[in-house]
Amino acid sequence: MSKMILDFDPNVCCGCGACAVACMDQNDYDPKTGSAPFRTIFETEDTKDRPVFFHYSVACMHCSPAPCITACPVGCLRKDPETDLTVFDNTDCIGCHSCSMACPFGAPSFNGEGKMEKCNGCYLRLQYGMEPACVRVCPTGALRMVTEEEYEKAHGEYSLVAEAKEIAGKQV
Amino acid sequence: MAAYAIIGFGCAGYHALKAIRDTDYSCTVDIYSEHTDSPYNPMLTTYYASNRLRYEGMFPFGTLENIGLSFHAQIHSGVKVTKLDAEAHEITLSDGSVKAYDGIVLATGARSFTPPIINECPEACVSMRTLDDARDLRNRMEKGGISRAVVIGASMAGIKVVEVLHNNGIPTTLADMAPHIFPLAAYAETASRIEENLCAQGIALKFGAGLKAIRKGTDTAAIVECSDGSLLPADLVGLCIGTRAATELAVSAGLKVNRGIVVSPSMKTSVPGIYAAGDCCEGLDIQSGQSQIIGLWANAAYQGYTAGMSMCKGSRTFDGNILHNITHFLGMDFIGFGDNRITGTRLTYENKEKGLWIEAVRHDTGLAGINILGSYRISGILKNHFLEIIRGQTHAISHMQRGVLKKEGLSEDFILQLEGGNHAD
Amino acid sequence: MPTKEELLKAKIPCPETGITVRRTFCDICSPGAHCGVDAYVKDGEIIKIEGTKDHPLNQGLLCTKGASNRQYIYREDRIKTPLKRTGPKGSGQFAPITWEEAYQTIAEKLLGYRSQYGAQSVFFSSGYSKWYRPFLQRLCYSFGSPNYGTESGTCFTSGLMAWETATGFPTRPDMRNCRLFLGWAHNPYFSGYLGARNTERLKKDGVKFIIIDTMYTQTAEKIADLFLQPRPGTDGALALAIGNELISNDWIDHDYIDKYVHGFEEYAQYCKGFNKDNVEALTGVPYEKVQKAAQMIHEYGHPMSIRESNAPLAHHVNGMQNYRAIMALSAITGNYDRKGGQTPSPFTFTHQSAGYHTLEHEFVDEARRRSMAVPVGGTRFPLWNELEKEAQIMDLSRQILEGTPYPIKALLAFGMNFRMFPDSEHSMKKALEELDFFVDVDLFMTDSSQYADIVLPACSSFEREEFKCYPGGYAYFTTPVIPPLYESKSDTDIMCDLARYMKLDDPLLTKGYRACMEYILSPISYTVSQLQDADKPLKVPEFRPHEEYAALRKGLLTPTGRFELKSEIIASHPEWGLDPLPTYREPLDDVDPEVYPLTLTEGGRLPNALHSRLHDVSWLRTLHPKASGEIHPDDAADYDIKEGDLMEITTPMGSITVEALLSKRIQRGLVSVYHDYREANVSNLLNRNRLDPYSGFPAFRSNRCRIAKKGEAHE
Repeated sequence: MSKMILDFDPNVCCGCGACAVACMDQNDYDPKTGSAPFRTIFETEDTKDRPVFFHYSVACMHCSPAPCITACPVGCLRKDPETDLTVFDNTDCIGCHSCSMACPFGAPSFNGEGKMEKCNGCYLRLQYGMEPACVRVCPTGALRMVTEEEYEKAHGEYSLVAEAKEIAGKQV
Repeated sequence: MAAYAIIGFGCAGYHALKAIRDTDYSCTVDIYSEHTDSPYNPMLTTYYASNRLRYEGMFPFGTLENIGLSFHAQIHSGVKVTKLDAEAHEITLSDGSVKAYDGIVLATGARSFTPPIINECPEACVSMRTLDDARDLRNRMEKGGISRAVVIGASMAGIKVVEVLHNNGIPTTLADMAPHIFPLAAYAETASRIEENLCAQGIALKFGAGLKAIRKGTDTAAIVECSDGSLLPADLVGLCIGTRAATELAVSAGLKVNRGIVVSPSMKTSVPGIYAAGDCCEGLDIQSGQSQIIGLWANAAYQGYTAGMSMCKGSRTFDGNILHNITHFLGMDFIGFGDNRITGTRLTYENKEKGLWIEAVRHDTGLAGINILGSYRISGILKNHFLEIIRGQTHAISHMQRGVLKKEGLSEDFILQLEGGNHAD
Repeated sequence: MPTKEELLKAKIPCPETGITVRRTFCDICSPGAHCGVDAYVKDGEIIKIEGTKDHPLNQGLLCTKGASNRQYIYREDRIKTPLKRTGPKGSGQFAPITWEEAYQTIAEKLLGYRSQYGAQSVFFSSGYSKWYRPFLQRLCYSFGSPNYGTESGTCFTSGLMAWETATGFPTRPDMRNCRLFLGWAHNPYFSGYLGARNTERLKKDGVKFIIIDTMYTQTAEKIADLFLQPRPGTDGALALAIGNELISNDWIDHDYIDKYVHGFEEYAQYCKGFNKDNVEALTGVPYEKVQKAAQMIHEYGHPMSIRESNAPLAHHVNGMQNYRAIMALSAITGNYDRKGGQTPSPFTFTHQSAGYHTLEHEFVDEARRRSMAVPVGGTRFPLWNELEKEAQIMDLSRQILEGTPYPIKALLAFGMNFRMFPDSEHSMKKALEELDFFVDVDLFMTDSSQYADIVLPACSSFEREEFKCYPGGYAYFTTPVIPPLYESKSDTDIMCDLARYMKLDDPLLTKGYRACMEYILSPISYTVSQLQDADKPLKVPEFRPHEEYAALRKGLLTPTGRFELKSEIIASHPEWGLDPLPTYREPLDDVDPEVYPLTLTEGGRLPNALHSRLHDVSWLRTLHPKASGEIHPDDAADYDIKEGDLMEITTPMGSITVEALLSKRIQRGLVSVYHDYREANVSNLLNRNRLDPYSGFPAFRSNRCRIAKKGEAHE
């Protein structure tokens, strides 16, 4: 497979949160543990006279290079060699939250056992010819999973991946 | 065909190796490590000591054998480098053999440090830096008979040792000369809140008095004598006072060394061809502009990678870091960014519902430091914001980050205060 | 290669994991949707769902609510067995009983009330679910009671009545063929996501959009070429002013009006009262915007399709008349029964128009054999009674509590939620406390079921077989994805079982769901078995698309056969005291505006909520955790209220406290409160006697109130 980009356009999104719920279903999210869902849904409103809104669904931005991978002391995080998505195996996670301090987007969650979980881009679904749960359900097309070539060819004016790249580039 | 050596094999050494191989697959790489373990993070020791981490989990990069195979490197473990001839790029090993290289990375790390005090009872003392230290603590706890313990050093390492002892049901006192916990990172009120929480959990605190001596005890194995004359009986004494960079080799080779080896942004030492990275060296604190030790796992990774790259290609730089740390202990998360000695306007924010506390200091040019208690999730976002401010870039937090901050319980008003009044459009 | 554990964790349907995909549909929201669902099943348990890709309606998508089906189905508070109340009402003390005991008890009780007080003393009601309604209605009539009533009496029926008054038909906008779309309270992003997709597609294709809403919605923000923001309940005045502007500029279709419209002159005369001198004062919309709207209708409105969202327009004391005033715009511009305009769309099954005929109506009507008493609400709301011939559920609590004109002794409810009744605490909740016998059928233990004598467990759409029709001529008959959980049963099985236990003289109903559906579907070519075997919606050969002007040429089902701007049904009953024209009156109550300076509106939509039924689905609740109300930031500043603060809202009926959210989506002076929260029931703030005299609908969306800061955020 080629390198995959999970892109998002806040100008197209309507803030319905279907992606967040589909993600919870895919990943057996249990709110009772107090952990944060992988996707955070919110709206920003301009403070000027005419209201201008942007809608966001923010999860792991699959940075490349990914600061969380460097930060993890036990090596839970890695890049999937097929897709370049940032994936994890939390067997040895000690819950130190170092990945959280590395992540400029608040992506890592910690489950009921205190072990890190986050969006893995549904990389195995991709390898089996399916879309990530969030992309599959998105009614507006704000979320999309594309190859790097497709992404380079066309992305919205408000590509979140472009913004995230700039932000993550400043993280140490 | 070039030949390189890496001396010391921790996080920095591993990343130096990775960088060398990312650049040049034909060169030879020799790695010299005094210990026989694969690279690991010293912070994992308390997890290992308390059986919260299996042995294999200590080593994020796998076994030495696999690292050697996949990076095509000769790893000489259990071998001590006794001498470095910096100008000649030559090293002498403990067996007397001498080897010359095109470039050498010093990644010798740091050791735990105990001040020279009267210690009548070294058998009751443990420190916490290496796997051996971890085994030592584990064995002592398994043996039992520890009626009470004292941990000296209210540092990130100290609190983790306290956590292990406390979770094992051992009444524990945390002692430090400083007036508060985390003296190098926490602001006073944040520290007080942590201390309150620790006391509520039943941990005794003894601050404001230094360590004078460790004496033989009567009811307990040892008695810790403080500078104010008070006596703390203990069967186990944790010494977590600090670490010192392992610079002996560099010093004897005549490299420029302050508290750590002095390096340039491309990790060059004062002698061409000799590089240094990780806990043995300093780095640029971009907040103060000073060269100082930044003992962080990820920082070692960035430095190591930079050293490896610039040694092979001569073109890589790492522009430094800020003081920052996150410590998860006893159900709390403490996160600190920046220099906590800088004074200015205090900004505080509390969200009781979310269990979130933030204390920050602003001075003329922007934020000087941030303490967070309770929410690890926002730590990376606020670090990112802090870095931007320190670098003199935008003071505005992006929409995509601001939304997450608000979801985690920050108010719009407080975010605006952190930004100094400059919202993103 | 990934390991089996990794594949299981990723829920990959493949031989290694043993995960299979089975099809059904979601019935969380109204039958206008019901999207196809692929259920991933492992060892008899649903482990994941997603939309069915080749489903003709949703084409693989699901909305926020639908995406939560798995958690909804496996909610911990699912009712597991039939229950009998063992403690006082509201105590929550119940004991499990067998279905046999439950049925015996219910049959004995209901038959007892019938013989002692008459069949009308038993009320058969339906909550928000609709799939079983023809069966419940038939059960009710076969029992002999006229009292079948549903929550549609607060939601959908007012709009239906408006269309029936004017044309005799239910009507749908033919959105996909229009050039101009007038979306009145149209925000599909949060309540009909497929509509949003269609809207965006049309926008791309160059269709013009006028969006009229009390709030600056996502649709206003993303779609509108022109946005008008009237105050709640002033839609009628605004529509009449637009009508006046169209007429005075002669931007109307004279030929069409002459041929097909009744009452134009009187309507035109009445419209003159809504003009540049008063429209802004009446509605808050500047007159230039009214002119602009009329101009756009003139320039692009051939054809123009109008979507008048049912509930938000109807939830005022003047709601139905407002709705009629909006409808009138399609008549005077010649857009009714026109391609790309408004199309007459008779229902195929359960309020869904699919373009073919079934015997649903006959199935229900033939059970109405003997003359029955006037249903509940029939005297109080005579137009409702004339058109709907069902009970208007808004009068139910009054009749239970007052016993006039006759007593109601028992209630057999499939879903009951006292919070949907204004002044809930003193209306429906009190009525449930005082009722002699109450049976509640539901999936979950609700606050209302705490008052039931017998509680029966129903199952979800995933656990039953079910017929469903879709626009475009589709018919679908599902197979259960999993067997009913615990001891739950399909609603229709419960109804048919009860008909048997009560020995009702109804040979068809007692035969069960499948036999009834075979009868109802007899006009189509497919048998129930053929439909079920297909495992997907099939297009039926009997499908007939809309034929332009056919209904008009044939003559509409009104007394004049025309589109009646002036209703002759109403005109022939002066004793009702209702106006034949779509007249306008002020929506707000007459309590002191000095004391209650703001307007309270409830019922705005959240993408994660649907009345009460999803508030306890924790996945959805994470998206909007607290009971909340939105206000304009400038109003908030006047009351020193900040985002997240606790805000107390007060009307003469009482107070509630909610989290304050600040947004410029909300117009100044408005307090928009999300409804149906256990901890903050906004319906308690409403006067239960403020009902629309035409439809009986409550004024959920326009009541005077005041607000105050109650506490700081996050304390």
